[in-house]
Amino acid sequence: MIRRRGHWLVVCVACLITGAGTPGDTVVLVTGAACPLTDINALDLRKAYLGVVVKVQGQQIRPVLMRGDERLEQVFYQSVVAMSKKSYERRRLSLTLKYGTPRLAEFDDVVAVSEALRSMECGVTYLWKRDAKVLAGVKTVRLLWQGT
Amino acid sequence: MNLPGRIRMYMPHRRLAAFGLIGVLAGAPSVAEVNHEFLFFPSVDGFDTFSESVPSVKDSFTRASLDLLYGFSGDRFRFLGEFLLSSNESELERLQAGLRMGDETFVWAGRFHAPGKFWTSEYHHGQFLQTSITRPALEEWEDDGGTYPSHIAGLLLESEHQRHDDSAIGLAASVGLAPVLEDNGLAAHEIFEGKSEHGLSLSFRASYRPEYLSSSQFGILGGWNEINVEPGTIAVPDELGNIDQATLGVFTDWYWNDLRLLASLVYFANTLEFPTQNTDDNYLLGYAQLEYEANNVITVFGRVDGGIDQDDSAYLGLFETFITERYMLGARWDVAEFHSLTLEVADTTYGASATGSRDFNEFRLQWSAVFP
Repeated sequence: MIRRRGHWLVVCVACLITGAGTPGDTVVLVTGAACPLTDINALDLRKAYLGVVVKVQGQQIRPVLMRGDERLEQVFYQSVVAMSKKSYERRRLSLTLKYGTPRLAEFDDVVAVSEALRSMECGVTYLWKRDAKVLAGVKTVRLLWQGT
Repeated sequence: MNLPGRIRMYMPHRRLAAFGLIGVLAGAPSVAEVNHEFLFFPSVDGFDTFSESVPSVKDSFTRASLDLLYGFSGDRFRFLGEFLLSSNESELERLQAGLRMGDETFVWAGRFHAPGKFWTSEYHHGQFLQTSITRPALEEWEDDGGTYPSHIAGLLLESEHQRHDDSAIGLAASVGLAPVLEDNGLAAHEIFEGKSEHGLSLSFRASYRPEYLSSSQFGILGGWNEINVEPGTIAVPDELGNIDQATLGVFTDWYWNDLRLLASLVYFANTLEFPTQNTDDNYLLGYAQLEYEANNVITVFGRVDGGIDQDDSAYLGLFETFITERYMLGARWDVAEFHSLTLEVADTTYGASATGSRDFNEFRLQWSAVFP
């Protein structure tokens, strides 16, 4: 009986982390409407977020981090960079310490990030699809994650 | 100041450094995108021996440190400054200007950390980023008893090449000025130092990563250093002029799920030049540090430091407190995202031939963090 309760606890925690409890939620990659990019493959996107200079269709990708939404951040760590938050943050710090690599711009407000994307040359970030749909001047270039 | 038995070459270092920096800056195009980065790495260490008192080692001490990093980056130009302020010292550790020569290639001029020392060029002075409190003896800084140059003033090339199979090869090589040996150990060249007695330093590291985006890597490293000796500062019967030090070694930083292995083995071939004869002095130094990430906040680790023939080395005998052997266990608790508490216990042996070895047991506790 105790083992069964433990099993359900693990399932519930997993549901909270993966967002499986909210089917239909979708996370998309967006960029400014003026950016000529039509798609970015997963590997190039991962490289860009891990500090590598990535050019797609002749355009340098400028990744931006979204903060303040725990579930959105979890999707980013699992589906975009494929590492834990701790490992990712250590890697960012290490690049700055070793090479002076600038850390990525961060936003916690979807309106502010859409303004930033419009002013940047091919800046990209991840947003809930429902947020991306209502923002002016940004376009979706890739589906990153879909709740089941 | 002339050293006996060899031809001295005075180098107008300040002028050379200025020309180097001007050369790098002149190649920089107009800066379209500018970023400034500040990082602060504070730490507080407590140390205590829990064995009999031994000479040259304090029974206990507390040390507070703050490492300040400033980075400037434009489209192709970068600048890095790292300043360490502690209760023991304050020193400009790195001051380097770099030019991007390709997507992943930089040429730097200034004072930097030797690429031939893995730990040094991986963690620099960012205490929070290294799991353990102590560094392996092989990787120790000059002013903490290190016997192998860590700080070089000159030119540094750093490059990384992604291969077709998504593996990567990294190369780093430097040419510059080596430290000199003074009565209290190696003294690195200061960036604003004028004419001095520093000899030539060559250092390199080549690494291979099977997966470009992974942190696992292994490789070779080495160097050649002309370590000049300040006259009259070493208590030896015959005055030591300089030391030619050649090194060649291997290193690895490897991850298996929750396990991580950090290890290095370096062979040293030293020639100690006296007025009437030279003495060859060869030994091997190494360490292996194994870390286990028990969960997201707790990491336990252990390290063995040691070598072959290091106990009888004439060169290591010049460093009174050089650690020739250490068995260490520790644990780190990441109490918050950017704060950690770490403790270590170790059985430590120090002192080579001339000074005789001594043994003590130590306990360390440290808080480290990074801001912002």
